[in-house]
Parts: sequence; C-alpha cells; structure tokens
Amino acid sequence: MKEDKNTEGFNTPQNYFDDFEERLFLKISEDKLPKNNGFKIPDNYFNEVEDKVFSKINQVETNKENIVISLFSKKTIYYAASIAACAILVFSLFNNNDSFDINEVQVSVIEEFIEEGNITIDSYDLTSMLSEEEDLTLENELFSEESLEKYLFENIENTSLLIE
Amino acid sequence: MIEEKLLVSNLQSDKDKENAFRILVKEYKERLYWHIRKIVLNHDDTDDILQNTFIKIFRNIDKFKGDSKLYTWMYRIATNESITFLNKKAKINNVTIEEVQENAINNLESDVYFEGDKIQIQLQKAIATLPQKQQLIFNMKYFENHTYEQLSEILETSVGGLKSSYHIAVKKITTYLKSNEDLL
Repeated sequence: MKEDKNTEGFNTPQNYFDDFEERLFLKISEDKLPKNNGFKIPDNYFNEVEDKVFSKINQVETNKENIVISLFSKKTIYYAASIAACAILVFSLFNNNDSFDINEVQVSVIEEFIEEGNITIDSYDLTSMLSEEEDLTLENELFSEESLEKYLFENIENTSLLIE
Repeated sequence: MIEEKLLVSNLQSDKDKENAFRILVKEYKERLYWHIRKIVLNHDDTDDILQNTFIKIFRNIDKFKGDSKLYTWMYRIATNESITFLNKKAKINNVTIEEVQENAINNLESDVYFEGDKIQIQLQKAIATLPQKQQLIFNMKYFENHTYEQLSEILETSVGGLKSSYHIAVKKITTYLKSNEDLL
C-alpha cells in the first residue's frame, strides 16, 4: 500500500492515531454521565458578591485601625507559642545539628496552623482559664469611655447586655 | 477582559487597587463560585469560602509575582481554601474528610439550592469515591472544561499525569453508576 496516499500537504499531531481509540472510548463514557450536577443558587446571588467581599475587607481594615485588643488575645498567643514550642521540639529532635530560633517561626504559619483546625478552644475552656488566673480589668486606660461605648454599640449584637 | 498585566499592576498600586479589585471580583466570581461549590457542595459554605478566597487574594496580591497566570493563582487559593475548610470541618467534628463529604451528599436531598434528581446524587456519590486530587481533576475537566494545560498549571501536575488520572476517574465513575443503577 502506498503510505502517503491522501496525506499530501496534511499532517496530524504526533501519536494522534496511537491513542485515538482511547480518546474515543473516553468520549463514549463521558456521554453516559449526567450533563449537569443540579446545583442552584439564590436569586441575585452574584450581584451581591462584590459588596459582601468589600464590606468584609473594610471591616477588617477598620478593626486594624482601631487596634482593638481582644481580651483573649494573650491566651491565644500562649497557645500559639506552646504549639510553636512543640513544633520546635519535634523539629529539633530530628535535626539535632541545626540551631533553631523561635523568632524564625512566622506568625502566619501559626495562624495557618490554627486556621486549619489543629487546635480548637471552646468558650468553656476560655472561661475556665480566665477565672483561674486572668484579671480582666484594663489596667491602662487605652480607650476613652466614649470610644468604648461607640465600639460596643457598633459591634455587639445582643443589645440587652448594653442596658446593664 | 482588561489585559491581565495592567490589571495586576493596578491591583498592586494603592491608587487603583479598589477599582481593579472590583473588576477582578466581577470577572471571576462565578467561575470560582462553581469551582468551590463542586468541592463543598453546599451553597452557604461556598459563599463563605468564596468571600474568604477574594479577601485572601486582596490581602496577598502584592505577593503575586506573575510567575503563573493570575487566574491560575486564584484557582489555587480557592482550591486550598475549600480543602482547608473540609479538613477543618472534619477535625472539629472528629470525623474523616470522607465522612464530611458523605454527610454533605446526604444533605443534598433536603437542600433548597439543589434541584438534581437521583442520578445527580449518585454522580456526587461516585465522585466522592475518588481520591481528593482525582475529584478535583474530574470536576475541573468535566464540568468546568479546563484544558489539561490549564489544569497542569493550577494543580502543578504534568499533562500526562492529568490525562491518565482523568481517564481513571471517568472509568471509576461510570463503573460506580453502572453497578448502582438499581438504586435509581
């Protein structure tokens, strides 16, 4: 048989015919699968996405500007530090020759560790720890009464607390 | 669509950042939504993850060096956020990630934002039997029509590897559907 019959000037991608059957059977299998997955979205959902994202971003930025110090932040740092210490311990066990500086542990790494759900602290744990050793009074007056009040009005959902 | 390089440089400048970011969200919200939704299945969870994905993009855009395409980078963030979400949910409930997925599928029938019938539920069950990476490959290739080259960049896997994973995934899914036909 003359090999180049009908192919003058035409060409195919490399190995085109080698895996033709495979691609054909894949197509046949695909055709048997459902064409959609049945998911729906609420009406107008996509029109609201930008605003939702921007309001969240602005909220974070505002909080940063106000330097709101969470009453629990110290504890979280202790937790983070203890996790970092554990990580360093494990690390140092396997890498005896390397020196390791705690300052090299990035906060973002610790944040990510917590975000991934590797530690969970519920409110019961927090309250039990606080009642044992933590004094909740703010020793230094970081905020004026006015700004505190404003913050509480804007950020606390349960207004009945404010009446007290 | 505005040229990517210009968009990136606007996103990285203080003056134009917000406007450029609005354009970015508008352009990609639907695609990223459906990408995330196929991983976590539920609308409300998807909404949270989508917002977090865009916030992460906004906060980290200065770190984007242009080594990959912008949309590849965003897909990677969305994928990571979704998988992290599933892992977190599994850890909090003290179950495996497979059980989290099984639970999500079981909830589909009563989900107001799901209008599929039994075959679609079976399809989700079939997808859930695949390893995590094959699930991603199948969803992105079959439903989102990504090319293997795009997938290769997003999932950092060779085109050859992706092709064979996709073939295996389709085969496993069709076999699963066939052997569970009587349940339909």
